[in-house]
Amino acid sequence: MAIMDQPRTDIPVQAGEGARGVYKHDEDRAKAGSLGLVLLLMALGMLFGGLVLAVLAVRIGDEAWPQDLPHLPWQVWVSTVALLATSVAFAEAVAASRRGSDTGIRLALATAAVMVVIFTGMQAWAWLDWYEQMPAIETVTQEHRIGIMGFWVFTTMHVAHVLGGLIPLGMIAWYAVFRTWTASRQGLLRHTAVYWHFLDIVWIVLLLTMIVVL
Amino acid sequence: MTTIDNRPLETPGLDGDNYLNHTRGFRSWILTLDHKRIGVMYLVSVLTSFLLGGIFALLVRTQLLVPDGLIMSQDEFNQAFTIHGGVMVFLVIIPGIPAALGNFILPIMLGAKDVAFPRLNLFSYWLWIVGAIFLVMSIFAGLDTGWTFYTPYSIDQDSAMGGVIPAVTGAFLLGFASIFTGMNFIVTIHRLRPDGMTWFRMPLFLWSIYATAVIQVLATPVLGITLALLAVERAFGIGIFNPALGGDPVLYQHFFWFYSHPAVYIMILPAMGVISEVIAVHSHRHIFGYSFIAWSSIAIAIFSFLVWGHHMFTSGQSPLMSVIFSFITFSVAIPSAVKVFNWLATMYKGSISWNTSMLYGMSFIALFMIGGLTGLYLGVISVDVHLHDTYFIVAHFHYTMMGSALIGFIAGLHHWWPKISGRMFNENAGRFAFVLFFIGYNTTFFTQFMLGSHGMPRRYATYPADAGFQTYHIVSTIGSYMMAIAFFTMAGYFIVSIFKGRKAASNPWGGRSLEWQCTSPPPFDNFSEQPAVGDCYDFSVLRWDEATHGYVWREDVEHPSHETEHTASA
Repeated sequence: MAIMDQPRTDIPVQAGEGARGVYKHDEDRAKAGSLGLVLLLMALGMLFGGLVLAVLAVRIGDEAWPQDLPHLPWQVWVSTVALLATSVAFAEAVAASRRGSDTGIRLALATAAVMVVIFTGMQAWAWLDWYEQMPAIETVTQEHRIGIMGFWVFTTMHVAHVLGGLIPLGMIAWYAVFRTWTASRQGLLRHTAVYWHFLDIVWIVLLLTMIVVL
Repeated sequence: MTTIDNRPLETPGLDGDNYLNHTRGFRSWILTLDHKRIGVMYLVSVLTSFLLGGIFALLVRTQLLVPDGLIMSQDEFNQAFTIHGGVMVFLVIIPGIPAALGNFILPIMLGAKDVAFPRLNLFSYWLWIVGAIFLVMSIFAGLDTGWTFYTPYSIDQDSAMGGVIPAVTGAFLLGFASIFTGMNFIVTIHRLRPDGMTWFRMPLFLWSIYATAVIQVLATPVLGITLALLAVERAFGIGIFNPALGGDPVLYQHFFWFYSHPAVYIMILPAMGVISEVIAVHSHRHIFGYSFIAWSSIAIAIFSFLVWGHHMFTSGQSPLMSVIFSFITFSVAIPSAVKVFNWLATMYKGSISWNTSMLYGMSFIALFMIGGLTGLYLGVISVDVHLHDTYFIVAHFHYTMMGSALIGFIAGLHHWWPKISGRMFNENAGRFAFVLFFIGYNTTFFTQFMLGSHGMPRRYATYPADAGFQTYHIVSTIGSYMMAIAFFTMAGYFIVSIFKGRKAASNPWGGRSLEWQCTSPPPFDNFSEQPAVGDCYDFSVLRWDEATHGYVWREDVEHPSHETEHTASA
């Protein structure tokens, strides 16, 4: 995958700038960061995997599952497109960084930020939409509450991680606009992009689960 | 070629620049990125938690001195054992070795300046503190579910217990602190091993910490999502664990034990790593079966994910599943037995120093054997059904979690205390406390095997006067008081050693791993240059030096750093 390509070598290297001088070279620190990211994503994968499995277990064990649950709000589909676009924008930011195009990085990050705003906005709208349907649904599904509440559990869990992803996005945007673009920042960009791709995959899995189960 | 290397004879670090005096002031500690200071902060926090958990243990034992209960109502008793269990598991045993001793020792053992992500390390510590505060808050808000937070107790909205959500939030945060620590250790071991330290030249403590970290990273998130779902179930009624809303309370048990059985190995694997170091160093004999011990740590880590169902034989899970879990449970005994065999073989014909840490190391083997073998009884479904929720279970898991995991921590604390504090403690006081502890421990818990097999259920505040339980309870409680005296004695001689203890040599016990090559206490950056790596269990190259009260490199043996220099110059 292009995202994980080797960093550029024509940009300033700040060897040994790692905290407490743990690393002799920036390359060592980048490798450590990559491994740390893989481990973080494995942990988050277990977290979301557990969530999906728990809901599936309740659904499979329920032999009287109601058939008249409402469809997912239309805003969910718009937010899905926005999230996928965020991921594409990050891929473009990484490509621009590799080309050495500062303008390209800024443009791609701005696009990603806009898409994140659209994603979260649409998710909030979808929550309100779902909430308005609750009174009618609750009376018939009191004994199948996960059928209604599962939507909020899934989306809240995911959006919490989206909000977490805003921190590195904000840091990169700050560096891209106000600071010199260094090798370590390119590494941060690559790692952030991988994280957002991960959020895409998680969202697709959650969405499929909601379609099949809820 | 004969060379003399006096590096181990360096002036003890208390006189010079070291991590304790490199910077001063409160802020220099609470915002430190130094893994050693973070390790010490964890150590103080864990020991404080141990005092709290211990007080509740004594309250529980005192209550059971008489059949009708001596000091508490039944509700108070339920809260007391819940707090005891929650504090001891989440705040003492799980972080004890990896976070406290591991943070201090692991980077030095690797010859590194620090862990891979020092800032994340500090963040983990403060996250741990916030989690601990939430957990302890539940004492005041009320929590009577047991440390497992089992549903439906924990989702009973009619219960006056307001401590469920604070406690679950605390455990959630503590879990993420544990995940971040595990990530840090895995990356540190992968990326910061020095030249020459291949995987199979690492000290076994690092293997055990690595295996533990894998479990921390992969299993703890499942606890995280389980507790998060439990909190929202209680707060909003989402219908995942509450049967009235279509949920499944047994599902909670599956998810909880999917984490919590591996968590038993999060507790005990690091202790096994400590024991591998202690037994080898204090026997002054090369560890026997190095690769078997290393691989058995990985095997235990893998098996630990496959046995959670043995906690649920009586929960109504399918008989087929119970049989499968029963068989897999037996298989965990194999790698555990491999370790015990190798420790015993290491001691065989060794030149054993009867130091306090070695005494705890040897008692670990004995107590772990009892805990492990009674675990095999409980792996048999028919026996488990009979003994489930009796004091036999309490005795069994205390032999593994306290008699093994906590003893490993105490052994490690004595082993590395000179390195941490730069001072020697009083060995005679240490031996006295050990004897008192060992007698008190077995008086407390071996008695409980009998109690359980006679039918005394766990978590009961009272018992019938004519059931024949009282004598066992009295004996068990007396044992717990003996342990309390032993622990206060231990605290006493450690505190005295800080102020009046003899300065520790760089290598007071005769260890070969890298932490014994730097001064006691270590310098701020651990090593001024990357230390040379040799066989960390070849003790034949060391000799006792009376002048420094420590071990030094033998004059007639070439130091590995010189071999490296020769290689480089060639």
